[in-house]
Amino acid sequence: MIDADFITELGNFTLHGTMKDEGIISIQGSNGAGKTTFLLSILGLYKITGTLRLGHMDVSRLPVNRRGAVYIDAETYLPHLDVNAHLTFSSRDKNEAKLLEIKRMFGIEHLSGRVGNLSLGQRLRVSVATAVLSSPKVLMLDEVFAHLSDAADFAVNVRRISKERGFDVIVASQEGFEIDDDHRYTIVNGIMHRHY
Amino acid sequence: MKRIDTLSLIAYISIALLLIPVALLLWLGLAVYRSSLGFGAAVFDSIALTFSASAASSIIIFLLYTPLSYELARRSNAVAESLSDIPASIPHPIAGIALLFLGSNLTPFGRFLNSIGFGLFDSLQGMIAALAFVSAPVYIRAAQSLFLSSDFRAELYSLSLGKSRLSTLYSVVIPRHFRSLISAVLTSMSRAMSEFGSVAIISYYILGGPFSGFRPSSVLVYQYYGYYGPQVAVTASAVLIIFSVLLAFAIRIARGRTDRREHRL
Repeated sequence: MIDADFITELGNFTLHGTMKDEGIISIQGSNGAGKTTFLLSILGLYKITGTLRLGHMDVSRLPVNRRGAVYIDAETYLPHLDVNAHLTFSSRDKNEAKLLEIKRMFGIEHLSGRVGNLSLGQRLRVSVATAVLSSPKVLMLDEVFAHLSDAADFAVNVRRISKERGFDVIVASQEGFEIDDDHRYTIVNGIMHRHY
Repeated sequence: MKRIDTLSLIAYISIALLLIPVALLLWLGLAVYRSSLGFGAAVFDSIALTFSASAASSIIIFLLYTPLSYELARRSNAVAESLSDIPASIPHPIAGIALLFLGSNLTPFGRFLNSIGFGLFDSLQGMIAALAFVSAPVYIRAAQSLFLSSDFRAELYSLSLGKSRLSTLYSVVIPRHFRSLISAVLTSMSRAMSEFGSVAIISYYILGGPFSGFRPSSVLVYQYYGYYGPQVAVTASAVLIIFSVLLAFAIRIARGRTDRREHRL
């Protein structure tokens, strides 16, 4: 469950972050509307005024590493690690079978070598798989699907694993991007509107 | 005919201005005077001492001040930045005097060090402490600039995966920038090798240990200048310069491809 009711002020831009939902939640908006600001506010990069609960726990004053929220965009990966070290970077569970299952699910079982040498799409798959293995409360995907050749299949797998493991997913994307979501928001000039 | 770029011309003239005194010293020391005393065992002993103490101080600086450099880069703190610059802004003989008093029986710290036979005066540890003190700001600024210019999203990702800031520093930041950090360490080491003011106060001679009876290179050149005149000092200086140039090449190799540009503006 994501329970957000806060304000983030960045220079002349003010974001009113309001959300009370769980499951797969999509946020759509044009460039500069405030999608990334909302996600990074939940992550803890920006100071917020108001309340923020993730999984019924008030995280508004917690540092990034104690919130249980993982943010992924095209640049969030650990380039110096090889694929297996990346996947187990923060995972306490070293079960090989589970690791292989996740690798197969995200189509990365054949990848090896340093993550920094992979293609953008491959890096994103590794980053998302790593995040899933870290047992997050919320997985936040910022414009991730636009870089994947099999975005629809990937989204199905993200939905499946999120239901199995019990974490919420926020997918930020440009207007018009279709995804099988449970709830949908649009954001315009820092104001969020809930559609369903 | 290829036109000469004015900016490049100014740049290379400025390099020449830096090299003229060095080249002159090499020519005078190795070709004109060639004093046998300048090639004596004492010179090479002093180089071994200076090189070892500088390397030790640079390792200490790397271990102690990488976290500070990272903290200053990611959480701006004007007061902490100013405080970390203090060793660079005070005359270095004063730094030597400060360490001399810190290591004396006037302070509990000094009494403790002296009681365990680890006093700072005329000792290798005193020299290392002085070199670390005066060279730390060079490393801090270099590492801070490196962290500031690097994208922080890998670190953000690591934090969001549950790693602490310290763990992120050691498992993400340092491995990613290791080569550039080594370059910063070597830069601070080359600064340490040229130090005179503070070591002339705290470790004019080294008494005890593997370098007993040795003098720091800068002190030795100063002594030779006073005892035998510039002809001997210039030869010892030329030998010292050769070792410094070798360190400069090591820095260049450490940087490797990290600052090589594929484009030309």
